[in-house]
Amino acid sequence: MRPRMEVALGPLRLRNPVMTASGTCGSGLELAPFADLSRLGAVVGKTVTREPRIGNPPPRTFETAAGMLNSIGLQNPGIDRFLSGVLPEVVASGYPFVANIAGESVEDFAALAARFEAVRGTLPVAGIEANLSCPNVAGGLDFSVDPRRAAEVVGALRRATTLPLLAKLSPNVTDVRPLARACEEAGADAVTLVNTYLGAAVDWRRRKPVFGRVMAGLSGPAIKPLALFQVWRASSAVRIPVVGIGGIMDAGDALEFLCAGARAVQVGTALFRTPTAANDLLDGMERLLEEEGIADVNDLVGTLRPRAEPAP
Amino acid sequence: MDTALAPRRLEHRARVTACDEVARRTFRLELHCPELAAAVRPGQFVMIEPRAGGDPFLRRAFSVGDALPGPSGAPDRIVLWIAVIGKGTRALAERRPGETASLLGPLGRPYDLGDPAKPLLLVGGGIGTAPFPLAARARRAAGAAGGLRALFGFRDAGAACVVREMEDLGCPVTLCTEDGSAGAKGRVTDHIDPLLAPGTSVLACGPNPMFQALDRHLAGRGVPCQVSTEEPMACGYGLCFGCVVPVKQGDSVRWAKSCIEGPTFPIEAIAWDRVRSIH
Ligand SMILES: Cc1cc2nc3c(=O)[nH]c(=O)nc-3n(C[C@H](O)[C@H](O)[C@H](O)COP(=O)(O)OP(=O)(O)OC[C@H]3O[C@@H](n4cnc5c(N)ncnc54)[C@H](O)[C@@H]3O)c2cc1C
Ligand SMILES: Cc1cc2nc3c(=O)[nH]c(=O)nc-3n(C[C@H](O)[C@H](O)[C@H](O)COP(=O)(O)O)c2cc1C
Repeated sequence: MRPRMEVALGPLRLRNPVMTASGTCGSGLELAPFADLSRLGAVVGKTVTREPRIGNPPPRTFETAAGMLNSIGLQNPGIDRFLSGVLPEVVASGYPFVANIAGESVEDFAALAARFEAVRGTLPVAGIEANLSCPNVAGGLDFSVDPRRAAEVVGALRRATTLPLLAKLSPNVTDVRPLARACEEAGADAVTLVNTYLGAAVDWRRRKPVFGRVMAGLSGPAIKPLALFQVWRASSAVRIPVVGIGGIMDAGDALEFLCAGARAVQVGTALFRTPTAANDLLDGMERLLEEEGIADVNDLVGTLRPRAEPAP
Repeated sequence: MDTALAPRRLEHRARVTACDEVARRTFRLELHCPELAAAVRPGQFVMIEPRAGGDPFLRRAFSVGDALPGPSGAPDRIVLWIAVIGKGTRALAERRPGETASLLGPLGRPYDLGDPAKPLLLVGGGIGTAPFPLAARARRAAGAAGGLRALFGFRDAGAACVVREMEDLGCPVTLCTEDGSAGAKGRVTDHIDPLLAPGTSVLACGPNPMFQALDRHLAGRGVPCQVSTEEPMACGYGLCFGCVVPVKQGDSVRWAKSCIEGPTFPIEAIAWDRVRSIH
């Protein structure tokens, strides 16, 4: 029997737990010609900001052992052109879409959410994911390291919209639990983690960093064990669902994240190698669950340890 | 789902049919892949897995150099010319006939071959000569009454590649090398002028410094020129925003994804002073 795959992130109901990760397939329109996105739980859009951002000069990517570094710099057309030029086509395409937003201030975040709230009648998004953690822009990091600042953002977003609200956290902290709790208390419906790990690449012959800003974000299988730990840790600290990301390449990886406490997963860098990575992974999950006789994917979530047990 | 909207399969499994060293640290990789061979247009590229198993992690971009007809006459194999640079190209050079390889493609915006009644000049620098047999083949198929020539520049005789293939396709090649060890001495910009008969368009592929030199050389002369840029790509099909090139926009630039807006661009579209040298 085919397993039940629907999951809920608070008010956000997903057909299945497989989403694409922000920044790894544009608005989805870039990937739609090559993969049936309507089968996925959701597509999470690339981060949108209030003003257009031209992004960083190249190089922007660098291959590493089992992964890559990126420093894209949040290139995006800004909210006005996103709403007029991109979102209508996304909505018409019919796949579930979660908008990912980032701001340099609490007001930026709230204003962005208000824009999605305002067009809800005609251009509905399934939810909003607040990128509290982009390492590639100045000022983007304090929301991700300071629970008080994270709560301010999430609180302001909560007041600005009743859309399902996900808070995306950075793993570049000593302990992610206070941040996850702060987001929960401020009204987030789910926390998403991880964003990329900070890393660097060096061209020693030229005594130069590969990236203009030295630091870049590491993604791909290289970070999977690290991400798995953060997801387990965060899910032990909050009651709201956790969305797991980081180096997920196949169905087995995804099921590990669910077992560790994630209610859903996002697939990022894997898409760069295989356009149908998220679809293939979904097919594989269904097959593996069926083989194991697991009737409902939710039955696997958090089975690594009793979910109710309070964090130390 | 509406079949008209059914996703197009981008990933193909190909069988290696040949892999030979044809010039210094330069390999010709031939792959059996009828779907790709039939669909590919000159200037398009593929993203190939250097070897199975995910190490190296990312695919590598290569121009499709040629599409060879099979027994039925329809194209069934593609040819890549690969200069060995680092670990990905080293792994590709070690591929053996009979092995399978995963490719994404065909990708990117092809060259516009223009009016077959007008002369076309193909300018290649080093491994940038790779895309031109396919262009010559397509041009011949279109009935190249206007004439087709190639101008290829290499560091030295040992690096020269793709010349015989061009000649076999009926395209005369003017050869130059920086040290004069084969053909004329000098760079392509030193030898291009006699080849620019009135009405000639240029298709160019090579390293960024060659494009910068060509841009200066052709500036204001009304010679239409398209280039194929070579910016490192993570995905090759529009997802990662990594492979951007500076496209002029008024007084400033916008960073355009070279994988889908390019890799071919009109030479005047690129802000060459903002382009870095890859190697
Ligand atoms: C559209 C396009 C067409 C190309 N066509 C050809 C061709 O026909 N023949 C050929 O020999 N080469 C071609 N290249 C360049 C080729 O992709 C690189 O030489 C190759 O990726 C180097 O891989 P490596 O692992 O050996 O080198 P490494 O330096 O170890 O590669 C490390 C990373 O940098 C990237 N990279 C390094 N150098 C380049 C480069 N010059 N261009 C793009 N990415 C680079 C690699 O893809 C990899 O992700 C093309 C590049 C592009 C973008
Ligand atoms: C090229 C690239 C661009 C990214 N852009 C964004 C972004 O705009 N916003 C965001 O929240 N995360 C962004 N991310 C992070 C991913 O969404 C994801 O959190 C991370 O890559 C880890 O997952 P993965 O290993 O499956 O890729 C980006 C990642 C990559 C590789």
